[in-house]
Formats: sequence, structure tokens, C-alpha cells
Amino acid sequence: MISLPQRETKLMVAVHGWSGILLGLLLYAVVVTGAAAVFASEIGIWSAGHVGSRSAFAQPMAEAVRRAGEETPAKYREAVDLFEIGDHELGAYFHHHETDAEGNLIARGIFYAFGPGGEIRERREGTDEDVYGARNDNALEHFLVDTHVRLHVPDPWGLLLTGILGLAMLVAAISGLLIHRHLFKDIFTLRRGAKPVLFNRDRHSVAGTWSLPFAFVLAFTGSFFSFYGTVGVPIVAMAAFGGDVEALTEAVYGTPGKPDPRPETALGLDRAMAHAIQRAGDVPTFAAIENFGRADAKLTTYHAPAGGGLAPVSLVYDATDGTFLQDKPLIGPTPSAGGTLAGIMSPLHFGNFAGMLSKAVWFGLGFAMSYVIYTGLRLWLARREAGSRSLEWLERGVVVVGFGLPLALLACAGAFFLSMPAGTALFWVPAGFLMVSALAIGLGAAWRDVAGLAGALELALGVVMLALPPLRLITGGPGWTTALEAGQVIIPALDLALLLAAGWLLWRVFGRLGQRRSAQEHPVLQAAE
Amino acid sequence: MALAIGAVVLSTAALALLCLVDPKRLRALRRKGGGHGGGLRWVLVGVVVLPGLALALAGDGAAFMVWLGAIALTGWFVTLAASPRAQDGPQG
Repeated sequence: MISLPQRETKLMVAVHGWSGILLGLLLYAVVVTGAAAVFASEIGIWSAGHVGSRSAFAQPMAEAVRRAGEETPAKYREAVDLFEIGDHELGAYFHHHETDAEGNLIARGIFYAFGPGGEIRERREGTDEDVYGARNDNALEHFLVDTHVRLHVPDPWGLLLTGILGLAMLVAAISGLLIHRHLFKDIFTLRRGAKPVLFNRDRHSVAGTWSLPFAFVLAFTGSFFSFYGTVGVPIVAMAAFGGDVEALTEAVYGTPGKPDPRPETALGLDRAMAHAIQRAGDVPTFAAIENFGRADAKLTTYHAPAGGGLAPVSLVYDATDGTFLQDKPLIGPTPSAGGTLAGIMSPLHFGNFAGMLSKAVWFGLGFAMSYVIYTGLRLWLARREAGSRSLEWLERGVVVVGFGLPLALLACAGAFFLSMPAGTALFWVPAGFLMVSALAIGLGAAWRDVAGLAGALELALGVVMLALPPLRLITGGPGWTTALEAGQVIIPALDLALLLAAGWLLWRVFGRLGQRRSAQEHPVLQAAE
Repeated sequence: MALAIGAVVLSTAALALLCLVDPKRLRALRRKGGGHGGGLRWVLVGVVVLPGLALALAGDGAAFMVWLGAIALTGWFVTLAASPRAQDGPQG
């Protein structure tokens, strides 16, 4: 492996350790929520009890969108976003772009939610932030994603913070690679019975080595997303478009063509959707119409990667008659290396390129990263334990965050189940998180020993996981039979995953308790063993 | 994705064998015999890598990434499973 001189190795060890200890707890929060956010849409379905399995995009929509367009002021027909809301219902956001008082490019317009028969169920005027923000039925999913993306810090600071954390993860991965002289020799070596420093070192380095390639991938792509809008876009807009972000967006993402403002109805939506589903092999995740109601209206459908590829698929249609026009790269009008690279960033970060299988693997990798961060922090502390008792507060902090954060996130799910029927989930989900966080911090301060604290929090995690599926049912969520009859496997699958994880955690906790009790009852035998 | 799953199973089986004959691990367990010779280990490394290489050469980027991510996880799990649980090992 890479062999550095002793002085450089010492420097790298210091960089690795201090970058971890200074930003490790925040990074842990981002990575844990990121692992859970891989299944954000599934968590949304499970928590809200959505049993629908037929996409709104696979059903006729042209007539509903046309009617909504007729009652929308012309100024908001510049663009229409089409997406699914609730239980596979169609949402359409007619809007135009404008610059707000702070100079940010925003969308403003009218949002329509359609019922199953295409009738307008809701009509609301607002900005993109209002339309795409959290709602009562997706409060849990939204809270989870917002924690991962910006740690609930307002824009742009939250994104900058998570971007810096991504860079810190890159630094830790590179310095870890440089300081580990026997990377491959030690890859199977895990000495559980060794002294704490060696045991912590082994479990940190084994998990870190196996997941190293993905530490680079996830940290790089995560930083890319954080800095893309906050730093990248403003700089490019300033350098090439005189600061006009709208012009930049149009040039980079827009569909070029000769303007034709003659009025024309978008009659081709259903034909185009049917063709897009067939061509991409799946329903779109999102669709957008430019110049709605004009002869030059174009529909772009966005699909997850298909056919063994990693890049998402975008297809462009003439919205007036549904004629297929082109496969559209993410960036620019023609395919390019940069466009492909930018296109694969999202699948590589979210793991959504091969259905549930890739998502499950990405979730596992997120769990492995969280484990690497947690054990890294424990190793740093174990190395200093002999020299200083003053770091006990930090050790308690690591345990409180390590186990308390997942506990608080699970408590959010409980708070969601209890409050969603009353329509107050937007308040109670973050409130539940804060209350359980405060409880974990209180336990951390009051508990006599750190090992006992970790055990108590682990037990609480297992109990809450065990309680969530029955709580979901008691609060009106659909049962497994109802879900399976509707073709919705996500609900029983997530229930089962929680019950299995609860069983594993409780088995660990009670196994340790049994060992301790046995050691107290037969101290002589234990010593002899 | 059946190809990716098959590739992961094959690579994991080879990884498990590689782990069992790993000389450093055997030394740490204070077991006799320094593990198998370099020849066998390189053959096993080849069996681990080959399925992924085949997926990459076939141009199936999605299956290749699934394979790469999955063997990172199964490699870790194999290591965990192959290290004996010490009764007095540190916890937490």
C-alpha cells in the first residue's frame, strides 16, 4: 500500500482524527439520515398508508390538465410541472419564473391537485417552496430528507454546511487510505477479544476499508449536490450570463426550438405518456411542459435509469400532438461527457438506478458509513481514555448521538402516526424529534456509566422499532392483507424490516444482560474460562 | 438484475474462502498454519473480481454498481461472521 514517511503519516493521522472529531457527530447525523432517506419515498408510502400502486402518469391526464389550464391566468402558463402527490394522485403546478426581493430565482403560480376521476380537488396559489414543501401526509418523509440535505439550517447555509461535511468525509477517506499501511492485509482481521484500542481500531478499519470506494462516491456526489445550487450555479451565471440565473437555466436545461406563440391545446399528453412509459420501461418520476397552451409546447418526461444504464432518461415530446422529438441529455441539447457525468450523480448518490435492489445495497452502504464514523469516534476516545478522564463528556455525547439520533428519528414516525389523522403532523414530527432528543441528552447526563447508557438507548431503539408496526395499525394504517390485495408490498416489507431489526437489537441487549448476570452468579467459572 | 445477484453470490462465496485462509486473520486467532499459499489466494481474488469485470465489460453499469456495493457489504459481513465473539470483548 501507499507508504508515507513517518512525519507525513503522523500529520495524516492528526488530519484524519481531528477532522473526524470536529465534524464527526454532524457527519454521522447526515449519513444516518441519508441511509434512511434512500427509502424516503417508501417511508412516505408506509407512514401515510398509501396503498395505491398505479401511477397517475399511467392514467389519462390530458383532459384534467387542459381544464386546469383554462382556469389559469395566462401569465402562469409559461411552464407546468406534473408530479404525483398523496396516494398516486396527479398534481400540476402552472407557474412562471421570477426573481424575488433577495435576487433568488423562484417559481410562482397555481397548484392543482386532482382526484382519481380527474376532478380538481385542491387549488392553491403560491411559490415553488409552498408547493414542494412539507404537507401533513408527507411530513415524516420531508423531515427525514430535510435533515439529511440541510440539517434544518436555512438556505443556503444548511446546504453549505452539508457540502462542507461531504468534503470532510472525502478528507477522512483520503487520509484514512494514506495512513493505513496494511489496507488489504488487515481486511479480514477483527480481534473482538483484544484490548479496547485494538478492538475499536479493527472494527473501524475493517468497515472503513470495505466501504472505502463508496465513501468517495457518496461524499463527492453529496458535496456536488450541496454546492451545485449554492456555489456552482451563481458562479457560472455570473461568469457567463451576467448574473441572470433564469437565462442560465434556460440555456442549460431548456429545450431549444423556434418560438411559436400561436394558441394550441396540449392534446398529446396521454399519447406522449403512453409512448414514454413504453420507451423508458417505467412511468416518469416527474414531467414538465414548456409554453403550455401554445403551438410550441413541449413535454419532457423524466425517468429513473433503465436498461442497465446509470444515467436517468429524459424524453421530449411535442405536447400538442404527442409526437416523440428526442432523448434529452440532462445538460444541453445534445449528449456530452459532462451531461452524462452530471446525469449519473443523482443515481450514484441515491442508489435508485436498479429498483429496490440497488436501494437496499445503498442503504446498507449508508449503514456501513455510519458505523465507520461511530467506531472512528470511539477509537479516538479509546486512544485517549488512559490519559484523560475529562473526555468522558465527549464519550457520553458520542453514545447519545450514536443511539439517540436513530431513536429520535424513529420517535418521529411514532409522532407522525399519532398526529397525522388530526392533521397536525407538520408540528408533531419535529416536536417528537426534539422531545426524544432532549430525553436522550438527559439520560446521557444522568446515567451512571457509559456502557449502561449505550445499552439503555439500544434497548429503547429495539422497543420503539417493535412498537411502530402495531402503532401504525392502531392509528388507522392499512393492514398487510389490505396492502397486499392492492398490490402494495412496501407497507408489509417495512413493517417486517422494523420487526426484524427490533428482534436483533433486543437479542443483543438481552444476550449481554444474560452474560453479565452469569458472570455475577459464577465469577469463579468465568475467571477460569 | 438476476445477473447482478448471481455475480454477488459467486464473489461472496470466493470472499468467504479468502477470509477463511487469510494468514493475518489466522495469526490473530493464534491458529496453527499460516494460511494457504499466495497461489490459491490469487485464484480466489480472481474469482471475486471476475463476475464484476464481466458485468462491466458487458456494459451493464447498473449491475456492476450493484455488484460493487453488495460485495463491499458482504465482505464486511463475512469478516464479522468469521471473527469469533469474545466473551470479554468490549461492547458499545
